Amino acid sequence: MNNLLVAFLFLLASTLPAAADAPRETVFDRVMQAGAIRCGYAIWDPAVYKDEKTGEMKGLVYDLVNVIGKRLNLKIAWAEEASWGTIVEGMHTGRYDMICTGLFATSGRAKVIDFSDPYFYLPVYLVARKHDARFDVSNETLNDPRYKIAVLDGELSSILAAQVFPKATVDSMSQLNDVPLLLKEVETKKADATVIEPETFLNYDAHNPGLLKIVDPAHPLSLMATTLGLPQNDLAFKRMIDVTVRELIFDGTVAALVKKYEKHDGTMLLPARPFQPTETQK
Amino acid sequence: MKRLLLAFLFVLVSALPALAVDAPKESVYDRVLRTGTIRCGYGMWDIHLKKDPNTGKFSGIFYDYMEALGKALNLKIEWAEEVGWGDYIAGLVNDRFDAYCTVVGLNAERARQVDFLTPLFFLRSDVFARVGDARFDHHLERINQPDVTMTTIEGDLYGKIADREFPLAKKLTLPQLATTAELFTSLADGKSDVIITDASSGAVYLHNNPGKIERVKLDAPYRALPASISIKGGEYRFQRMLDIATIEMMANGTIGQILDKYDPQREAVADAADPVKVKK
Repeated sequence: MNNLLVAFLFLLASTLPAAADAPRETVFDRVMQAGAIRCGYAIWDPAVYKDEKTGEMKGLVYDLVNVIGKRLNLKIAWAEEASWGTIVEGMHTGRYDMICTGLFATSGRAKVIDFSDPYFYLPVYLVARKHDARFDVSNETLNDPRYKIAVLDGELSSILAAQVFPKATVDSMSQLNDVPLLLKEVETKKADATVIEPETFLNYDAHNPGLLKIVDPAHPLSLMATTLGLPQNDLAFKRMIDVTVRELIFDGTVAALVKKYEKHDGTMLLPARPFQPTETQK
Repeated sequence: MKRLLLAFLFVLVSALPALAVDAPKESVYDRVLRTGTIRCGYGMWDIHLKKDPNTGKFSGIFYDYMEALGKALNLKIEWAEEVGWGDYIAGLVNDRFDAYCTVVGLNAERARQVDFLTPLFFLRSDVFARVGDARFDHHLERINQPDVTMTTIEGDLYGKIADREFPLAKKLTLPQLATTAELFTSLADGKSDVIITDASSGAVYLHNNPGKIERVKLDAPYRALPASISIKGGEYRFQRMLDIATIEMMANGTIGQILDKYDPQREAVADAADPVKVKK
């Protein structure tokens, strides 16, 4: 009888851990319980940055996320500043709930995180020397081993170069370099072209006028969807943020923020209208 | 020893229910497919959903849409419970019905608790001025001047937009309980120069009071708020099933036909944009 009881006890105890394995708390549940979204952020002017004099946080995404908090009646805790290289890891380990900076939705990142709906798009252009007409007719000319394209390792320029110009020779530099160095490589003829967003080009052009040009200003090489970073597999949290982002697009809040922070016209593109105007509306 | 073991066993067995995880609750998707029925909560509003008081028959954009959706998915639509916009969320959360099958504006406040489908169309908001006052046509920035007065209703969406976008304009604020008709009357009577409100109410006023006020001419509606039905949050399979059927109905022209039937001039709604570029 004793043996039977001990065997039964053993069997029962061995099933307990599985039974007590409660479902893991979702980010949505945690956020709603705490009444707050904890933000991880990386510094990027104009998305999120600190005023040099006062140390006060500013930026388009900083303002946007604070409005999201107000609309959802949730507090926004700017919990941790992270580098671009470590910001995803911080969300994975649960140190914050959302990546609150201008994050490009890319296929590479999509394997490990999810994204909100985009709130604006950043155009990316091919840049060459002012009097170099070789790529004017077609960008595709650059897709040839005879031509060299300047990129920063692991950064947007290297991703786009690999996708759009896989046959071109790559002039690759460490990610530790500043993005404007790509333009210097083209200017000094170490490379034939590079890919870059217009704000950086326009700043460079203001200090070095007439040396470089955007090859086809009417047709960006690509559009980078700028988003907030979200945890994967958390549908309720993603949907709540998406609906709020859309609300802010539709009610003009995002347009007002772009107007406030865009330094040069056309460097931040708003999402297209999702509806069709009719004749009676004109 | 036996007693000790038995006592231990008793404690263990009595603690089991607390330790064990509840069996997973049936999802809305599973329930709908099991019963072959989508149970609808609904609210009445203008062209979106109405019930004939004599025959009891439903009609409206959302009636036709839900019935077409049911047909496409081979599911019955049960119009289960009439409930207002202020109370529908509890009905979804407590599984009294599977979807709130009336026009619902997507917004952050609701997104805390429930979810929405892909917008079928957009609810227009327009700007109105008196007939003959063309100051604001294609120049809304002209509103933002101290010599312009806007009538608003305290605390409503359009009042907030007016405060945010036209801070320099004077405001004539009506109390919260004021009706949209009072808003239009204050404009028509010359107490203010301009108002912003939903296009559907505007269309009714223009129809009943011709020659007094008109829409300010713009290239597109002043605002277009996404409109769809609402479902319980976190119901991925249910949402995807309904979304895909809806996208199919948008692509094959069913939604366009329904809108043509109830708002042929598109006075109250704006169609969703085509998802493809057409070469001209």
